[in-house]
Amino acid sequence: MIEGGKISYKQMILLVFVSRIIGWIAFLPVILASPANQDVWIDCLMAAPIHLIVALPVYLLFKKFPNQTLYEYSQAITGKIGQWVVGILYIWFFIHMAALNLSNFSEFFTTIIMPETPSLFFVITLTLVSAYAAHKGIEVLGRLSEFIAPIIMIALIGVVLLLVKDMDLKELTPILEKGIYPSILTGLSPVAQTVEIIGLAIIFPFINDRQKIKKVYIFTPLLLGLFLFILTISVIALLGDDLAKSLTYPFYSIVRLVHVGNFLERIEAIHVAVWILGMFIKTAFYYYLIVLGLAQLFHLKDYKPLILPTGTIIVSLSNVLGQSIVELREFISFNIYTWYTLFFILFIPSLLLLTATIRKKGERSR
Amino acid sequence: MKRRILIYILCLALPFVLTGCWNRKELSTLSVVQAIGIDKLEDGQINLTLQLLKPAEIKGSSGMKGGGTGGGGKSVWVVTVTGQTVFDAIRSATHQVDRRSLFSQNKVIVIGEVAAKAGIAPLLDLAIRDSELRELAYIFIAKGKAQDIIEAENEQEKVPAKALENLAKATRVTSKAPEITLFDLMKSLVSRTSSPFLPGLELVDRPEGTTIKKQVELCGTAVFKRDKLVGWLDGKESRGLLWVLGKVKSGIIVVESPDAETKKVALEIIRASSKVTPEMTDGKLTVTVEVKEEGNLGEQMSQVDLTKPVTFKALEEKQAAVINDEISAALDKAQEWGIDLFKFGVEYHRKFPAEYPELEKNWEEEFKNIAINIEVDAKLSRVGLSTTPVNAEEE
Repeated sequence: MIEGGKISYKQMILLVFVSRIIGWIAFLPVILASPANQDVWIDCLMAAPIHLIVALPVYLLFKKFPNQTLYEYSQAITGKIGQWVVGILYIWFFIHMAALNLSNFSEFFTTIIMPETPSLFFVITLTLVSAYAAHKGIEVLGRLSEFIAPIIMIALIGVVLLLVKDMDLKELTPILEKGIYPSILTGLSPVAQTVEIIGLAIIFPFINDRQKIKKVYIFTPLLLGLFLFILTISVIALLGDDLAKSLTYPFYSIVRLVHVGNFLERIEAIHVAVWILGMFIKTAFYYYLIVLGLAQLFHLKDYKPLILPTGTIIVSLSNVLGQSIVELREFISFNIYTWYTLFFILFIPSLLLLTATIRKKGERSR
Repeated sequence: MKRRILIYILCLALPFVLTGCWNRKELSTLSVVQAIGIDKLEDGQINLTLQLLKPAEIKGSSGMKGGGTGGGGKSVWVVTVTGQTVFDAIRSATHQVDRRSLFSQNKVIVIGEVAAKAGIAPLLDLAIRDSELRELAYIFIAKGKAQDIIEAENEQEKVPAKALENLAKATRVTSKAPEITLFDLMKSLVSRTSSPFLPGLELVDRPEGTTIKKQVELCGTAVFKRDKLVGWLDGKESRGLLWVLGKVKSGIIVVESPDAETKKVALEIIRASSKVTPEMTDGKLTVTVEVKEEGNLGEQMSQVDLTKPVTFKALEEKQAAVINDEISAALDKAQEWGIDLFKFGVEYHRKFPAEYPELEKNWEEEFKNIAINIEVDAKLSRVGLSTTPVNAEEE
C-alpha cells in the first residue's frame, strides 16, 4: 500500500471545501453562468442536489471497491489496457487542473497587488510548499485543512457581515425573470467546477471509518452550496448583476468596499491571506492526486520520488496556460469548462460503474 | 549532527528572504495623491491635476503652534499634466514629480464641466480597472475647470482634498446635494435606463482682505444622460430627487408660520423614507411616490405659541406641501429632459419583468410620459426645549 495514512470524514469534507471555495472567492464564475441575471443565486441553491446526482457514480463505485482508489479499481473493472487509458486521462486532468490553478494564483497576484513581480515567482513558491505538503501524505493534508478551513470560514463570514449594512436585497428582484428552467440546468455550472468530486474517488479509501462515507457524500454539497449561496447573494446584493458581471474578481471587489465607521476599511489583505492559505491546500491536494496516480499506475512502491519531476511539469504547464487572464477566463467560461470537467467527473465514472455492474465486478452493494 | 548544522545554516540564511519583494514602496520614494482633477482640453487631450501631499510640511507646521507661519509652507503641491488618456497623463506626471505617485490614498476625483459634457465613463475606466484607486473615493463635477477646484486652498484644512471629502459628507445635513462615491457611480453607469447624477462644486469669490481669495462651495447636482452631462439641479430640486430615492438624511424645511405669514418657521428633518410603486394599465404608466417624513420644530421666528394641536397640524401640512413642491420640481425637470434619475426603470423591471424589455427599448419617451402621483406623509414630533417663544404675545 502506497499510502498508509487515514483521515477522518470531517477532514475529508473540509479538504474538499477549502479546495473548492477558494476558486469561487476569486472568479465566482456562477455569476456569468446562464441565466446570467439577478437569479443566479437560485443556481447556487440547485447546486447541492445536482452535486449529489453527479457524485453518485463515484459514491457507488466506492461501495463496490471500498479498498481501492480510482486508479486501482479501473484495472479490476476494465483490465490492464483500460486502467492505462483511465489512469493517463485522469493524471492529465489533474495536471491540467493543478496548472490552471497555479496560473489563477499568479494572475490574481499580478493583477491586484504586485503587477511587476514575475508570475513564475508566485508559481514556484506555491509549488514548493505544496510539494512538501503532498510529500507528507494524506494525513497532513487532512489535518491542514481541518486547521485552515475554520479560518477561511470565519474570514468569509466576517467580511460578509461587515458588508450587510450596504446590501440592497432589492437587487435580487425580479425573481425568476426568465422562468425556472434556465436556473435548474445551470446549477450544473458550479457543480462541474467541483473537480474535487473525482478527487474523492481517489481519497475515499483513506477514510478511517467506512460508515462515515455517506456523511462525506451528503455534507460536502450542502456546505459548498451554503457558502456559494452566501458569496453570490452578497455580491449581487452589493453590486447588482450588471456590475458584478463586468468585474474580474467580484468578491474581491466587494471586500474592497468594506467601510465601517472611519476606521475599519481596506481589509482586502484578509481576502489575500485567505486566498494564499486556500490555494496552498488546493494545489497540494491536486499535487497529491497526480503523484499517487502515477505511482499506482506504474506499480511503484512509493510516490515520493515523483514529487519533484511532477512539480516541473505543472509549473511549466501553468506558465504556458497562464499567458493571459483573457484566455483563462475564456476557458473557464460555462460553455467550455463545464463539459470538459463533466467528462471526467461524471462521464468516465458512470461508464466504469456501468461496466462494473454488467461484468459483476466488486463487492455486492447491499 | 550534520543535519543540525545544516538547519542552523538555513536559519541564518532566512533573513535574506526578508529583504522584500519587487513591488515594495517606501514612503520616502512616493508622493501621495490626495485628489485628482480631470479636464478635457479643446484638442481632446486630457488635462490632469494632481494634489500631492507634502508630509514634511504637515508635520512641521503642526509643531509650531500659533507661531510664525514661516513663509506659509503649503502642505500640498498641485501638479498639472497633459496626456492622451488619463493613465498616459498620470505617467507623464513623473516628468515633473520626481517620485512615483501613490493613488491608494486618493480621496476625491473632480471632473471638469467640459469633460463631463463629453462623457465621464471613459475618464473613469482607469479608476475602476486599476487596483490602486479606491472605489470609495468621492466624485464631484466642477462648474468650470476641475483644475481650479483642485488648486483652491482651504482655510480650515491643511489638505484641501480633506475639505472636499468633508463637503461630500456634509451633504447629509442639508440633503441639497447627493453624496456619491465612485462605487455608487459605477452602479448607476451600468444601468440601461436610469441615469447618474453627481454633486457639483464651484469657486466663489471671498471678501477682500482674507488670505484665501477663492473658496470651493457645493452647488446642487449635475445630471447626466447616460454618461454625458446635460444640466444642473439646484438645491431645492436636488432634495426633491433625494426624497424620491429615500436618501434624505437630514435638512431644514422652512415654512411660513401659520399665524403670521411673513414669519418663518424652520423644521428639521429627522428621518425620511420613500416608496415607489410603478403601475401599468393598458400600456399607460403611472408611478406613485410615497414619502414618509418625520421632523422636529427646530426654530420659529414668530411670536405665537405654535405647540398646539391645531397649529401643529397646520405646520405639518405646510411641511408636506414644501416636500411635495420639491419633489415635483425635480420630477418636472427630469421629465422635461427625459432622464430617469429616480430609478423608475429599475422599479418597472422589478415589477413587470415580462413587459420590461419592450419598455426599455424606448425608455426615454416612456419616462417623459409617466403620470406621477406624489403622496407625502409628513409628521412633526418634538418641539425642543421651549414651547412658547420667550417674547410670546399674550392671547
